[in-house]
Formats: sequence, structure tokens, C-alpha cells
Amino acid sequence: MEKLVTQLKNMKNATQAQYKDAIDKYAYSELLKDLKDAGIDKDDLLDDEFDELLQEKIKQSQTFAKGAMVATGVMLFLEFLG
Amino acid sequence: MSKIVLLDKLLSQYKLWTIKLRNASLNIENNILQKDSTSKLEEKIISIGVSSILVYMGSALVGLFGVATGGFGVILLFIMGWLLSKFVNKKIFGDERSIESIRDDEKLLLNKLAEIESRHKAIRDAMNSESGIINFTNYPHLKRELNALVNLLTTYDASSLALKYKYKHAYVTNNYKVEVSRFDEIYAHKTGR
Repeated sequence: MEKLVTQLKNMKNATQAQYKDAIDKYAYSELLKDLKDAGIDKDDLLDDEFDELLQEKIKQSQTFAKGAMVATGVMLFLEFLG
Repeated sequence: MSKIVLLDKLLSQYKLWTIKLRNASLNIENNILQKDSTSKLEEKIISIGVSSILVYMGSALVGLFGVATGGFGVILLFIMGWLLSKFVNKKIFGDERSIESIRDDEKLLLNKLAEIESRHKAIRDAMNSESGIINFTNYPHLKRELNALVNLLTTYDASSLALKYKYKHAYVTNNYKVEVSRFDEIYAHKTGR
């Protein structure tokens, strides 16, 4: 998760779509790592099963990522206001 | 032959279940430790909202007496709203809690979560490394352990948590219970309940 937080903090002036893309890519690679550790081949999973796991991973990544985004753009302004 | 196919299917489902159990455990842990940085965004929005409402309400109230609120008055009202929002945010979102600062029963709960997770990870690793057929053994003990944890989760005293996490605890506990039911379906192949 540290890797993602650092990556997002370094993405100055990025758009919301770019942030989302970075989070999605991170969640996808983490899920593939989890599946490999569990001894499961991605192709053996149904699309629904994979999507369910991916959505959960994205949700968990966002939980931490939004804090990192506070350091950028509009969020910096909001931070200043309190 | 059909039994071998069924066994293969259950083994795959169990491995997948260990990932879901990990997710459910992590959600509980993050909730107890109040680790949710999305709150930061929500806090800022509430701060601005409360401050703005106070400025509008204060200006309207003063306006009733025929007095116009000047620039200084608006700033003063905004600062008051900002301070008030800090108090509101503390009650709703709280602060992230460290492991050292939580109660002993909370530490025990988190330890139990980690213990169960690592036990099932060890079973999964054994399934992946053994060349022979792995049977689903030790079910009563594993089931008892999961039930004891669900009991700890349902009787957990959430009074130390901020409002957001207090209400979320029931949701994450329910998700964990769903995974415990799935364990029965896979490990003991219990169906039709």
C-alpha cells in the first residue's frame, strides 16, 4: 500500500481519471499476487468471482489512497481550510 | 470420478475463500483502528459546510434586527463554524487508533483474527504443496474457532469508536459471518441450509 500512496503523492496536477487509473492498476496487480499466493490461476475463476475480488481490492486501496490525494490539487486547498 | 471432480472444485473454492477471509479480517481490523483516509475528504466537506451554514444563519439572524453583517463578522462566524466542525468531525470520524492505544479485549480480538487467518493460510499452503489428495480434516475445531470469533465480534463493545466506525462495525461483522457460512459450505460441504 505504501507503494501506491507514494505513487499518488508524486502525481502532481493529475486528473481524477488518472488517479482512478493508478488505483485500479495497483488493485489489479495486488489481486493477481494474492491469487498466485493462493495457488489459483486467474483463468480458473469465473468473471463474476474475479470482479467481486477486484472491486473489494479497489475499495481497500481507495481507503488508503484518498489520504495521499489530500496532498494534491484541490485537496490541498480543502486541507488549508481545515 | 464425480467425487474427484467435486473434491477439486471444493479445494479451489477453499483457496479462493482464504482470500475472502483475509479481506473480511482486514476490513474489521481497519475499522477497529479507524483507518479510513476517505474520512479526510468527508471531514473537509463537513468543515466547509458547517462554516458556511453558520455564516448564512448568523448573517440572517443579525439581519432580523436590521444590522448588516460586515466582512469582519462573516470571518468571525466562519471561524466559529470551523471550530464547531472540528468538534463534530472528532465525534463522527475520530482519529486513527494505534495498536498500543486500544483496549486489551480489542487487542485479543485482532490477535484472534490474525491467528485464524494464518491457520487457514497454512492449510492452503499444505494443499498447494502436497502431491497427494488432501482431505478436509479438523473441521469441528476450525468451526469452533470461527464461531468463538463471531461471538467476540457480535459482543464487541464499540463505545471507543467514532460514530462512523461504530455503525460500520455491524456491517463488517456481518460480512465476516457470511464468510463463516461459506466455510461450512466448502469445508464440510454443507448445503441446503
